[in-house]
Amino acid sequence: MKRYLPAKRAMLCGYLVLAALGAVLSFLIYRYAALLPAGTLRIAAGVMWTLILTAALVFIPHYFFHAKVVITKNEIAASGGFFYFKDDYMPIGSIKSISVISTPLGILTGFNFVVINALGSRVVLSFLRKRDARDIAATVNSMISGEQLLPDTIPDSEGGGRT
Amino acid sequence: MTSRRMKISRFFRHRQHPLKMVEYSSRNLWLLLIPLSKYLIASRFNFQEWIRTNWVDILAISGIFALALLRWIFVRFDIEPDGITAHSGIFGIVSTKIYFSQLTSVSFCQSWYGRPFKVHTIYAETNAKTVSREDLKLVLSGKNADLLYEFISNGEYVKPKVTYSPRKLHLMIFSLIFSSALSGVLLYGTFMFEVYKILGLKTEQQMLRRVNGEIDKLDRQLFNLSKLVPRAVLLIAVIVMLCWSISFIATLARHWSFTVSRSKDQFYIRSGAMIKRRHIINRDKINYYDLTQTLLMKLFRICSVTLDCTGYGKRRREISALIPITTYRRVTTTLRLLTPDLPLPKPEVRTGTASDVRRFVTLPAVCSVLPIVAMKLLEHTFMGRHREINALLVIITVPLLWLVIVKAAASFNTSVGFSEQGCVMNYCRWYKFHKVFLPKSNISRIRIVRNPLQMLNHTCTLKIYTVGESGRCHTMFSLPYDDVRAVCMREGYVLFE
Repeated sequence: MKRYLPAKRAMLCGYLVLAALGAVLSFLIYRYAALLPAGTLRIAAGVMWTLILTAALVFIPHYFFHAKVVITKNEIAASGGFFYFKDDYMPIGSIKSISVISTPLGILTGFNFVVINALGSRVVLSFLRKRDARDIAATVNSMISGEQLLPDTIPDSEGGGRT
Repeated sequence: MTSRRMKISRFFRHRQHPLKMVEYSSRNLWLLLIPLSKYLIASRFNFQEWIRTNWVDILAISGIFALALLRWIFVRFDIEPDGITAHSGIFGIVSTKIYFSQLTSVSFCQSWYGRPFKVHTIYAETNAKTVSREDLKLVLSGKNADLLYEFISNGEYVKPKVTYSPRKLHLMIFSLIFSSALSGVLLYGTFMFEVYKILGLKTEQQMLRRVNGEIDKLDRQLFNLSKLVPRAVLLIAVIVMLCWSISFIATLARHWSFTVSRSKDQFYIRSGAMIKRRHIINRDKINYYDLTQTLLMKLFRICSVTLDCTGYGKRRREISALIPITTYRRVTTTLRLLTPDLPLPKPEVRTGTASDVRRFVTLPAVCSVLPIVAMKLLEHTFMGRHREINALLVIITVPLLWLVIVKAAASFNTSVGFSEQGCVMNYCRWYKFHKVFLPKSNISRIRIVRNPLQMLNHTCTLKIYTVGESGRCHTMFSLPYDDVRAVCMREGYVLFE
């Protein structure tokens, strides 16, 4: 059994992106929506910051504290969800292919994704460390081709790789 | 310099042959006919003048049609002992082999206009995802189509083990239930688009005016309903009725003379009045069997059995029926005869408590109140239009209230169960109730979702994804979480803490 957790760097980047988004939207509201009455402007800015704060205080921590990926010899189990608790279980036998999406600066940001394609469904494993993403792809590919069985010992990795 | 050349060389190494570009362009060359027709109309159908000025274009288009002729000559197929090979593309350079063992379904369709010429269109499908809509499409003569049918069915269709054919009255009921105004609109839209393509916008507008005029005349002479009901509402009602009738006739025509036969490995399905259809379905490639019902069907204790298999029921809003309609009493017997190896497990985890009814009904009940609130708010905006607003309110609210009743029934009909080989799911999607049977090997993913409210009341939403082209998700709401967890763990899914 292998176990992976999302990259903490991705969480930090998420906060940075949110802060940047808030700053840009605030600038746009006060710079280009100046024709609107002051009350409306305040409401718009209030709604926007409420959404951003909700994302920062609820959605992001919820996802990063809850998300994990477990690979056993029979299935891939992934847990996640920004507001809901979502647990996915995909039998290894139904997997047809696997794609790794590494964004530029993926090592620094942790914005790396693995898409596991089965006939009729798909599981997306998000915000993984680049090494973990490649390791998942290699493990699943070897399991599909039947080249090697999953080792009983677990490689030690920073973000995940625990039993 | 060398590294740049290497990069360029690497870029081109894994691309298709450049000849493919010609194929990509050739598909749209028919668009040249548009400017050519425009010149012909502009010259007021003076052919001599038209040919003198446009001879290059005419020659080019003639070349395109000559190419089509060449393509027709080169496209061919070979039936081999283990599969069918089709040579398509320019000069037949594209060769596709489909093994009979990999076929999920093969459909032989003969349209009403193809019948005098004995033209059959054959669609062969596998579970592989291909670039085109179907894996293999061939237009064959009647003789060749029959030969292929015999080959794929291995001659077994002449001596099937079981044959089932519903009564005509049952087919009428089936069409009545499965016809919808939306399908009618789509059919009517397709028809009008064809008219527009062939005859142009003006003729289409004339046709629409004529239809409107006939509706008005009918109302004036017979019903005089426009005095009681607002004209706009009446028009909408007539359009909905007409579209529904079109859908009803189309569904009935599609399933007329429906017959299903079973051999050792295949189903042979024949149906259709206008378009004659014959399908061969490999039974081991069927993803799941679905017993579909509406609430009225539940009350009358009848149901329809459809199946999910790549290719079957895919074209032109067909319904992938196995048993178009049957009674509760006969469904199990018929299913046992047609699919003796299908596991039929009993439901293990189910809803049905008073709090489940509340959970199922709350959302549609809130939705059904919303139009009334909205209309009250809009009353001042649309002063003097009370009649129209009330009629609109009835049109919107009645289906929503019906949904509340359906969901109340759904709260007693949601369950899941597993056996050694199979799985059964009972759930309601919108207005339809489904009872799905499938082998466990056809489950591609299980998802358990819990929102904060469900965390509090220890329930969950179970989503089971099945293999297949469409990637169908079967959703069961409000199941007890602990029971679902226990069943999933027993079935070998490693659950999170």
